[in-house]
Amino acid sequence: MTDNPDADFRDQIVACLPNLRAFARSIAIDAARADDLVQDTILKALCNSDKFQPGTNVVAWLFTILRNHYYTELRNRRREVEDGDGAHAARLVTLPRQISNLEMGDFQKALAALPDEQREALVLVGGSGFSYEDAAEICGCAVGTIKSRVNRARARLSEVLDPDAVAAAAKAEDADEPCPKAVTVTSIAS
Amino acid sequence: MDKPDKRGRMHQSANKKQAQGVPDRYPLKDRPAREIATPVGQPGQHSPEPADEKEEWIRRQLRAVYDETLSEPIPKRFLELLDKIDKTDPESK
Repeated sequence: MTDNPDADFRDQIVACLPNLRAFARSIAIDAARADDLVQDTILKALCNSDKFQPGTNVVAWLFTILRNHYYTELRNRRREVEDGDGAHAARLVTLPRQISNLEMGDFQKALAALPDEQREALVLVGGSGFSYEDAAEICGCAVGTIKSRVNRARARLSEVLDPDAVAAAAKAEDADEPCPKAVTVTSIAS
Repeated sequence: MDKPDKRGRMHQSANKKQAQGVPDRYPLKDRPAREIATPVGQPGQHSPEPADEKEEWIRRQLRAVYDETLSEPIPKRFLELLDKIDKTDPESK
């Protein structure tokens, strides 16, 4: 169709950007950091477009790059702080996430509080709509592992969130009544 | 470390392949955003049966959160970045 495969590839990347951003935000939580991840992913993808296997899922490929990049960064950061001031500094790595959560809804807080690997599995399957198989490819693990992570994530959310309480809270807000905020969620965020 | 070389990480490569074939299987441009992610694998397998109302509720919440970002316009910086690269790096064969 196009006589310029690079332009074609670029268009594919552009088409993936909304999904890529949504995924990045779900794993990095912080929106600015998520977009930095996306930017790095774009650069890596373009530099390595020759590694892309035609006939495979370009979205999955980009997700894999983004995910790998995220965890590499995370590891490097942890290593840096561990080399420095040990435990105290290590806590600083995770702190910004909680701070940036202030404006989130109850569901998002509960989601953010999940272990990284559970959250990403849940989002890949339940948000992005990947099959378990593709999610496993992206995360570099077995399909069974993805399934169990998704199940544990769902179970955890189900445990800490009460739909009725959340709905009641929303209703009370509308009706200007005292709001019985979902107490459950705050308890896991701490 | 989990298999970083599988797809995402790249080492040297000799042959430059074209990404053509792909749009055929994944007509990305014309599809709603979420569908972009679905084509590979068995259709329908990614949405397990709704066990109960609560699970369904969680599913909806999850999508709502995800869709919020999906529906945002793509930040200019990304498009500019792609344009810039297009110009500075024209076909490095």
